[in-house]
Amino acid sequence: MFEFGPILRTLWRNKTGALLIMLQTALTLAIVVNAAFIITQRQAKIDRPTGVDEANTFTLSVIPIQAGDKHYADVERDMIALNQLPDVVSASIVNSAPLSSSGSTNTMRAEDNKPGIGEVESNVFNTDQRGLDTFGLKLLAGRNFTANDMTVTSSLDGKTPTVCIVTRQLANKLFGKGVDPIGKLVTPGVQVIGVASDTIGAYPNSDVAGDVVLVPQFYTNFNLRYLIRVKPGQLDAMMKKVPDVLNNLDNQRVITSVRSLLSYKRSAYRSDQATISMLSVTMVLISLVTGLGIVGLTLLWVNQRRKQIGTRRALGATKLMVVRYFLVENGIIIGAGIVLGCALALFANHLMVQHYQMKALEVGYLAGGVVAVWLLGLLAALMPAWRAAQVSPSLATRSV
Amino acid sequence: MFSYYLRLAWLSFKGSPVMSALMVLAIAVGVGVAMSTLTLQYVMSSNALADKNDQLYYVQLDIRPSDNSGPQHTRNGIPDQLAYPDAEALLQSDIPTRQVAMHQWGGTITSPNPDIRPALISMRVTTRDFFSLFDVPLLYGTVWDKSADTQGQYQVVLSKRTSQQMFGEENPVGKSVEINGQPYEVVGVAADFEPAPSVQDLTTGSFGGNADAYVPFGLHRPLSLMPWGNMSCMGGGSDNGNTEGYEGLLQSNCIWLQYWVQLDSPEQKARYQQFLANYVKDQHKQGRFERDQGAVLSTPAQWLYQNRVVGNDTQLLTWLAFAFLLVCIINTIALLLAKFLRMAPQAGVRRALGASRSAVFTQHLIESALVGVIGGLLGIGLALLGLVAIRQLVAPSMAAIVHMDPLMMCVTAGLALVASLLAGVYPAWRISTTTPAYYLKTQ
Repeated sequence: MFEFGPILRTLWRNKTGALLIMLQTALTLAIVVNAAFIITQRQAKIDRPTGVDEANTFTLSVIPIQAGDKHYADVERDMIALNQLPDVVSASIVNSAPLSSSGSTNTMRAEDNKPGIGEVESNVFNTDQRGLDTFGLKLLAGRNFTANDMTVTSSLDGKTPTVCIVTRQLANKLFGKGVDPIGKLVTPGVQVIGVASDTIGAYPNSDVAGDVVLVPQFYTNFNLRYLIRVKPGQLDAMMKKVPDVLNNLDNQRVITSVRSLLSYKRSAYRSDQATISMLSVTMVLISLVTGLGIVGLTLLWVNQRRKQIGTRRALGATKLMVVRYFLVENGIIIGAGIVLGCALALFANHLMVQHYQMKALEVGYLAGGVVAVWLLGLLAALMPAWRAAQVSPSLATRSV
Repeated sequence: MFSYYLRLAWLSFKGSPVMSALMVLAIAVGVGVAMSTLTLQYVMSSNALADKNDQLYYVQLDIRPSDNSGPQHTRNGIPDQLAYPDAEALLQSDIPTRQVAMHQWGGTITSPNPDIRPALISMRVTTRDFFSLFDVPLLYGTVWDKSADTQGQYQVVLSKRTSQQMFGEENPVGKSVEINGQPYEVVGVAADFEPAPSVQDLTTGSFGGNADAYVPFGLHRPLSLMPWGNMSCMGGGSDNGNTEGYEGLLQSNCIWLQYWVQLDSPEQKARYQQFLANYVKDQHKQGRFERDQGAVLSTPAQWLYQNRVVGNDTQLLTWLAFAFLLVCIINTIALLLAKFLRMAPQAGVRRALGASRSAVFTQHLIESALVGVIGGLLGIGLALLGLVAIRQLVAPSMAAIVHMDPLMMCVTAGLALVASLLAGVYPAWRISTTTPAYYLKTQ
């Protein structure tokens, strides 16, 4: 019923063209599968919740014109003024902007662990009692900082804070899952007083992302940053207004780097986004090239065999049988390409795992790729096959 | 003969416009994609200090605790910066022709002209050899005196841009600016130094280590200067003494300084390597270092490699783009082959009329080359378009340098031609070897 035998014999006699299409299909499958796999991973990374109220929050830097240590009283004055603004939900001090890829880290471990055991590199935010609220984090257990918890010091004095709030993720890493961390000590002698909902912190692209600790601390000799969370819809207006408010309080300083958290987030994920875009474009283009290539070649084959097709039709083959002939032929070529392509896709992924720290390919992507490429091949063959079916049986009777 | 073949090619081109357009498009798209990603990689992997690659060396010392903790930014795992005591000690050596200890700093700058608003600038705290070692020309004035590298002197070399910002077009040498409220004498104005990637300092990103002003290295103690770049402090049992305050930081094993030396001959390099090895052994004996070796000198090219300036993604995309180009070439081979075979009867007639095999081969190769040339021209256009799109995607600091230079333009054209010839050789050969009799019979 199916013309496997004749098709195979025909293909064998004209094998170069078929081989080339097969090779092209294989490469296309390998590229599409791996590209799709990378794209979904990157997209998942970008879509991770940040934990902070990123749509309504911005930061700015405050650089005094005069050198010398900063006074916490001045900062408190600014904080009171900002928190009184009607459109400000909460404002606090931070040492670095969340999602900005720049900040501070420290190695932490539970105090009952020996040095070297259970150490976690953590992202440290120096902030104040309003910090938790400004980040938009929820307190899951324990208590928030109070004004009395603040440690005001120069980084050179070596005075350390006494309390901290850790994220759920960090608490699990430091003390184990399900262990209540409240009241426990982490080195160097800092007591955990609260557990906050998870956030990515300052380094979205690093292993440290999510291992976040807040400490109530103000360094008098460090750069000063304010974090300001505003009511929905007020971001642009407040990003203009707040610098003016601060300048009116004291104009002997430069207010700079006024940036929204969304803009930091965009910068942090820019290279992932670029990779996604470039891979997507490549996927579309390669499908087009391969699809059109198959259309072109099948059309040529159809044209070459018009006489044979006419003869077949004259001998009683239906239009459907002619269409089926070309689809089966196409299926055999594409099928062989897919088998080769699966091997190629796995091999390429193996190389990427070895050299570029990629993950191992999940079978689902291979299966999806196989279906997609098969459909592409079928669709591309449909039009030429239909053209073939239109060949009139009378062609066979015409003189050659 | 050539023009005749070209005419034949053009006729055949017109004979099957859809097919020809498909082939041209495949080559164009393949070349376009391959070249835009290759240009991206080429830009990122360029070495801005290539002309002094055999003279300049970045210094790394292995100050890590023996348990391997500490930052791992570089491929060799050795810390990417030096601690202050090591920089001070290395500056004592007279082996290098030039040497630079430096780090990033920042602050406010105030012009004597009250109409000009104070601004935030990024600065480089450095020894005076910076300008000669990196070949940064001075537009006005000079660099500070050698003594300013060890003793605080409030002198500054402005970048051209900052000078224009603060003083307009006039020569500011001898005038004064305030930095963080402290008056500094402007001793010179340097040309803007913006190598891309910023090989000289890769610690805060590969395209961002450039400065608006330069101040002497001797200012640390008078100003209690804290870096604006990265600082990592090593744990472990290396706290020698209990010095508090800023002096304590200077004596600590916190790393925050970059160090470059210029060594002009292999003999000089060998001597310096010996000096570094001895220094590390000595520090180990004194208990400051927990390891007794691990002094590494890297050329600018090696230093770019150590810092992974070309990201995994860029390399991956380049591989992918070339796999894509391969698909396009295979596609074109298949189409050309099919097309040529269809025209085989004509070739058969030509052969029967006396055309040699090589003549038939040349004729068809020229037709493939025509596909390549048109595809290539279109491909260059597509690559340029691709780069416009890529500039929208990457960080602004990188977008500024993503351009196709004449070299890449030539590579693109060459690639298109090679691709089309590759695509044409086999079909042309196949058609030239068919026996004329076979096709004549079927006529």
